Amino acid sequence: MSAKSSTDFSLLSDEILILQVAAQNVAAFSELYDRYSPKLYGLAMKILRDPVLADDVLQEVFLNVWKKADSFDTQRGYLPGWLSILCRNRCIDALRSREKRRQKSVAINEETLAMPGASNPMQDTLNTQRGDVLRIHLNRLPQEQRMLIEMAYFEGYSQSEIAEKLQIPLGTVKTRIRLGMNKLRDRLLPSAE
Amino acid sequence: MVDINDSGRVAPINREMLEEQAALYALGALEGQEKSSFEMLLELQDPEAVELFAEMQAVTIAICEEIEPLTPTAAIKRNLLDIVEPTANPEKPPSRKASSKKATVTPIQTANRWKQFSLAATAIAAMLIMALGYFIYQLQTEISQLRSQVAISGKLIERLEGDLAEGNRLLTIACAPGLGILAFNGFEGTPDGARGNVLFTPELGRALVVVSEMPQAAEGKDYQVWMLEGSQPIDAGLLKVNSEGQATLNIDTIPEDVLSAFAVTVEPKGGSPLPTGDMLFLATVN
Repeated sequence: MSAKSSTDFSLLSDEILILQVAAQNVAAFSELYDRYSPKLYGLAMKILRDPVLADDVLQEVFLNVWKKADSFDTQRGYLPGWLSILCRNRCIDALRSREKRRQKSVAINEETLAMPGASNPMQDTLNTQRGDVLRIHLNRLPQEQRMLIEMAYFEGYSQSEIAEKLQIPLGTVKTRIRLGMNKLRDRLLPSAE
Repeated sequence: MVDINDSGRVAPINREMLEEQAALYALGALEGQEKSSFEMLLELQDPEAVELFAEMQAVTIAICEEIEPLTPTAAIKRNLLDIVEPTANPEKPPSRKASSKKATVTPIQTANRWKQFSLAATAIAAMLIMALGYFIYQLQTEISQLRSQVAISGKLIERLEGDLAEGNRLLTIACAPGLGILAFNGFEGTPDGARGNVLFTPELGRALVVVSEMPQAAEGKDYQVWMLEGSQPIDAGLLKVNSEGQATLNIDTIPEDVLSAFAVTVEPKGGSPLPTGDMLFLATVN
């Protein structure tokens, strides 16, 4: 029998692999997991910074892929991008749920939060990710642009929430994000220039 | 290029504003009427909006791809496989254990050469039959895999053809002279975050109803769209919400008489001849 009959799923392209997952093929699903779980887990840990929550999110994302693989458009979609967006959105949902639970059970001391040296989620994010390749690109952005992009994408804040939290006009938030994203586009996707 | 402001009026939009909206939308930070307007531009396949959004989304994907990978614990994969295996397609290739089975040949006990030959021939025949059976099984497995791929491709083509037809319908309305965009106003019972617009072209007698952030209709219920001629409601059809909370309804024949408004109500499954349930949206024609 030819080698093709005992399919080596690691050799399959993303497009064929996701079609096989849509056909509910467990071996293909297993390969998809091996191929993408480290990236998605890295993303989940960056956003959530909580291994238990990141485990839950990763499992939910892959279960969602198993159930909805047939909704992925192999002609127009880019599988790693689709998976990243699924994972990021699920992480932000989990972040919001966790925040709601905290707000219910803990009375936040505003003065403590304002003290120098107190925990600052935004600064923590900046500090814990030193060494990432991502830093190379993000660090080259002016701090006020980088901070807003990270607040939106990795912490799930809307434009008006950012304006309120940082006490700056909404128009400033929009302009800084536009400028920062345009610079990232030019650096990360040189062909789009 | 136009934008719809908070009062539901159409206002011009420049390149910078569109870039801002695309960037904020890709980051998940755009909200309110701006989000609704930008989604409508994407729905209408506005080339500038589509291109900018694709670029900004590619930036967010590139950001994700540059994050350092981490290895999750093996328990997650085990859990996942335990969950998905019972729902898997039964037409799967034979397991490694099954394919490594070998035929066993009974030792020849007698000195009778004819009997030896006969036994050897039987064993060879048995091995050949087993090999042939295995070969046929493998072929059948490959055929069923190919069939499932063909079925999936067929579904894909069908969906793309549907998308194309829908795109053409949207384009016809979007390019029509005298196109108006009416913003839906919500009510107390309108689901949180739900919003929508009506693209309305009196000259062609056509309209497109677009809503987003809508939950699925409750069990035994449907969302129904109405055109109001004065206070007289005319059934325009049912609004089916997809898995992403979006729904569109293409209305091909708008009455020639004066049309005063479009509305969406909750009705019993299959719709009603006249509105009976709560009104979720109303857009008034000026």
